[in-house]
Amino acid sequence: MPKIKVPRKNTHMDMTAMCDVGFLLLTFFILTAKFRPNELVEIVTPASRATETVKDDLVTISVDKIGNVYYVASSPRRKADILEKMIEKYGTKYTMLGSLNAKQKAQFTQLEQIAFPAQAIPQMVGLKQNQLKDMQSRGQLTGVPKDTTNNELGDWIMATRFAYGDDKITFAIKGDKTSNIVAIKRVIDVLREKDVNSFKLVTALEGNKD
Amino acid sequence: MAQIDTSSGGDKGKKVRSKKASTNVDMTPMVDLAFLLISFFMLTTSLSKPVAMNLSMPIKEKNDEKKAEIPESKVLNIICDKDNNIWYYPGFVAAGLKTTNYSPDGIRKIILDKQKEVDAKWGKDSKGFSQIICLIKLTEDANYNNMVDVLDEMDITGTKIYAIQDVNKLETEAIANGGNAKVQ
Repeated sequence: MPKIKVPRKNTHMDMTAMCDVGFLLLTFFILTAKFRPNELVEIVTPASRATETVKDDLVTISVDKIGNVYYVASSPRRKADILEKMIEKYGTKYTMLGSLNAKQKAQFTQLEQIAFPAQAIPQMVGLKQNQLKDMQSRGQLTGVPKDTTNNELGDWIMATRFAYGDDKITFAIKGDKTSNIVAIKRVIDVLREKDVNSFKLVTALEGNKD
Repeated sequence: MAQIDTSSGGDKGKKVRSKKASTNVDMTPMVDLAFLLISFFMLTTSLSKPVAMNLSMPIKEKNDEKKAEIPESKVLNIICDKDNNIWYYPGFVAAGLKTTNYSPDGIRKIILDKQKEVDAKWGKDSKGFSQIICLIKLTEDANYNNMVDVLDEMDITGTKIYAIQDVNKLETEAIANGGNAKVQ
């Protein structure tokens, strides 16, 4: 009896097509990816029905769970202008701030957000984001003062408005779901004191509730 | 498929043919790498992009002379309290406060009912909007989520006139007493 030869199939698969698809998807994700900004505190925004997507040039005032306020200006160029205005106001009061050198000013523009009183800027500008995060987790960052007696938040808002000049400027409040309303109301009040009566509230898209 | 036939086509001539190296490259590691990177980018990308809702507050008047006259029957007060509790009452004087919640059967139904009531009495304006006026008040125990939820309800119910105000003394008293302020 002749043996029946089972023809051996080649186990080698052609990967070219798969590779193509893989890199196509990879390209797509690389091009569309926008990294999560490395924020000092995680802020879980409430969900809303709003559909307008957030633009990049917002000036965001973040309010965290315990009511601390963080000021986030958009671009480095703007930050430099804003800092100049703040130095104009506080330079004589806090001499350290008035004598910031060019390097420190450049470092300031690299800061993700302002999470400390103006007085502390000279000490803070040299720190890396990770160091700031460490300080935050130890509760050493108190945010921008916003009390009626020391309303630096209002000064930042005014400095921003001066820095923008005639350009359109949009303020946004980014609050945590669990932020106490008193802090949010205070921020709204400060904005209104500075004649900013129309602003945005940053929220998550409805349906993303966790 | 894409593999190139490298088998020699029989012994036709006596020429010594140099062996052709296979041009078939093993793609497996490349595919592995591609998918690894895909997973990385998928995980780090925030697919849920934040959205913004607009909020306009009235200009702060130094004097209160410009206060607009509003008819009491159009007003609905919504007070957000702690533990996701809502108190509501119609008109200007805090009395007979009732509680509700943020569900569709809760505050939304109350706003829509009020709207029907106002529509029946006042009719719709030229643009077809109901003229109900909602006064949103947030006690110190409310959180930011409550505020956004109520503003959302304004959008859902099509309420165009609403304002965020402070809780007044009478309301605080009424809430503390479970609905009705003490008669003085």
